[in-house]
Amino acid sequence: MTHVVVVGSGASGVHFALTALERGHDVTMVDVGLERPAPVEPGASIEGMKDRLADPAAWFLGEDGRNVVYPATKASYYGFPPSKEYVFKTPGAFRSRAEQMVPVFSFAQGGLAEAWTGGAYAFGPTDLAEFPFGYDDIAPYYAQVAERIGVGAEPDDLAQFIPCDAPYLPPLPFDPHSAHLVARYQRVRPALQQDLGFFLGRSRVATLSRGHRGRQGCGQLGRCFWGCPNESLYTPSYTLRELRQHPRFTYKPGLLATHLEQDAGARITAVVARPVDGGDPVRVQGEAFALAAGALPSSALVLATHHAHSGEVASLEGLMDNRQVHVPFLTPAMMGKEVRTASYQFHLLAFGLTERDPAEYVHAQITTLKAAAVHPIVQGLPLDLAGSLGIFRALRTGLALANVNFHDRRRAESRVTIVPRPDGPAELRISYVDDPQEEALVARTLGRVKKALGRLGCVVPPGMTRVLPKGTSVHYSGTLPMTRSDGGRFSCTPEGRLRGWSNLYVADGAGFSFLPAKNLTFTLMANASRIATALA
Amino acid sequence: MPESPAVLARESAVFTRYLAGVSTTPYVTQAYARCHPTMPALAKGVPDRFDRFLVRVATAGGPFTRIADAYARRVRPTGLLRQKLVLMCAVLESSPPAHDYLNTAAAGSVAATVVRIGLAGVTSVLATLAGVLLLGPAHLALRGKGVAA
Ligand SMILES: Cc1cc2nc3c(=O)[nH]c(=O)nc-3n(C[C@H](O)[C@H](O)[C@H](O)COP(=O)(O)OP(=O)(O)OC[C@H]3O[C@@H](n4cnc5c(N)ncnc54)[C@H](O)[C@@H]3O)c2cc1C
Ligand code: SF4
Repeated sequence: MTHVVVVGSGASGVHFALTALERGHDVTMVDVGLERPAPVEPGASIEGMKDRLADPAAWFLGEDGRNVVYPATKASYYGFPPSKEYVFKTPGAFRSRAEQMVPVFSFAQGGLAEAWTGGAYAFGPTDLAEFPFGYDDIAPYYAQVAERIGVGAEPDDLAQFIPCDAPYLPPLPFDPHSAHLVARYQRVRPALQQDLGFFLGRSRVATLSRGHRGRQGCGQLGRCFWGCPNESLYTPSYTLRELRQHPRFTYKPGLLATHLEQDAGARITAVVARPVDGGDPVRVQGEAFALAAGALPSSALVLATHHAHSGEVASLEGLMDNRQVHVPFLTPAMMGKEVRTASYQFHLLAFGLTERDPAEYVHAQITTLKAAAVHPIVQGLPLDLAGSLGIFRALRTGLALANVNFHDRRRAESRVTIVPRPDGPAELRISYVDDPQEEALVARTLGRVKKALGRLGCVVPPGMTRVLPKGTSVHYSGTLPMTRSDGGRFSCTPEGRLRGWSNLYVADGAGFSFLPAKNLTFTLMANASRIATALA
Repeated sequence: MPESPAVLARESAVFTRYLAGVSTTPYVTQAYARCHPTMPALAKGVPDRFDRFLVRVATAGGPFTRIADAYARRVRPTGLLRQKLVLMCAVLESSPPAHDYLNTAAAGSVAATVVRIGLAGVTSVLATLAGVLLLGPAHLALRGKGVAA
């Protein structure tokens, strides 16, 4: 059996590690590993918390108000609350610079998916056409991960685009607005499908509708965005907790990996890491190594390893990220209804739009407004704040957002490289160049989205649709792609091993060969598990 | 220069009434005051005279708050007054006594909702017009004036 060292405890790292352990290997995980704060008032609903906490404003807005979203400031587009700040903190020694992209990094236990919204979509055969393996090869791993994390789904009109054959749990109940949209869809379904290629169904979500593997079913507390206290919404730190109970697992948090050491025969011998609290670099030795630091940091580690050994600064092509467009809309029939803030907050519906090229399938999730931070919304309305609040309260139960995702392909112009630094880890340089074809696809699609929403009885207010900058979807991938034939030292075999090294595996999105419009994390987890089974 | 506790208490009272129609509380005032140092309009230096003038008008209360806010939304959408009001909205939606009000809908039929929206819109337009008439001249007079009190 092999001693395998994994870098990173995100969605990719924990499922790679769990499968490696299950197959009898010893696993050491090197991680920066910032910790999540303990949940407060676990049984309280979102509004209940505001009554129960001694200092609720500090909990929601930060002790000094730093999480208030002010008009036109450069606040994060998500406006994350203090309880999620640990997810996005970066260690001082980590440096990056990006052009035409706004990348987000996580150095938390569990990584970025500690803040995700749980959308868990299997890639279908078309999505995998450019990967060096097919749906049948990865399907058992979707099933395995679905069982581990608990995904709610049921066959519907989207099943032809999003395979639905894993052991899924019953889905969460619809909120009244989502139920209304589904009822409308049933009435106009044939026309929507034929005229517009529009298909509506449930979003597949990693949130438990009932208790599963020691975690509770969703208690409809409405705190999802602030962090689910019931552990109903899956995050990878739960799998990390499971790993840490395993006798053959060693967790080494507090370490920022800078590069890997190799011998003369292109065999990696150790991960070199700096303690984030200071001190001398440490070496973590092993027999096989897996990179799961997130596609961008993993790319930096490969480039720094190559530089340490050859003195050459290389670059990696093919960086991908989904374009996301936010389309807010109003369902007039739902206006003036009772607000239920104590209800599941994230998307319960998804829709797909077919394109002539099936690989260009467009995927979107619909989030109806339930619990929400009000001040970031009302400040954007074109009236005084009291008037805006009045209008917001009148419209509130009719408001929703479609988050529309577009595919991306590996292109040579979008790349990452490093700038070595004598006094610390190399700086990561990211340069993303927009696909010139994308604008036309986005414009065409948005026209169809508006028409489809119109037929569902919804109104898309003019001027409020936002094409988000690249980086926002946080679906980074493609820099160390798996290829069928030899694509050079920075490409991976179908089993995820980097061809330039005999024992180095890429377990995260860097290894993706194509990025369909569907959110990728479920596939990250399934693929990481698939790669772990390839370890000798 | 940090704003005095008395000024912030006055703002807290007026802005809470304006946004939520209730009296402020010591907790709301304290939370509102302690968040001021991170407010971008203050963190980047002393705001200009017109920004401070708008806050003074708004703090007079009654219709002046709405008129100053409506005018600020047009001419200083990211200025000091708007930031103070957004901060107060954030505090109120997060804590008693107003979080319930800010997080419920104005319930009613679709027709009643449309009327409600229409009224809010008309009132806002009137407030903006009043702002142009009452505050426009001061705006012109203070244009380009620096930070001196
Ligand atoms: C707000 C938000 C919502 C999202 N919603 C969805 C969704 O609904 N569906 C979906 O599919 N995806 C979603 N995502 C994307 C999803 O979170 C990511 O795709 C996923 O978390 C990536 O997992 P990863 O393990 O590959 O990398 P990461 O999550 O980035 O994890 C990286 C790990 O590596 C460690 N690490 C990094 N560098 C080093 C280093 N040098 N040394 C040591 N350790 C290191 C970090 O500590 C961390 O543990 C969302 C993301 C965000 C931010
Ligand atoms: S509504 Fe959200 S926060 Fe509440 S139990 Fe369900 S998943 Fe958790």
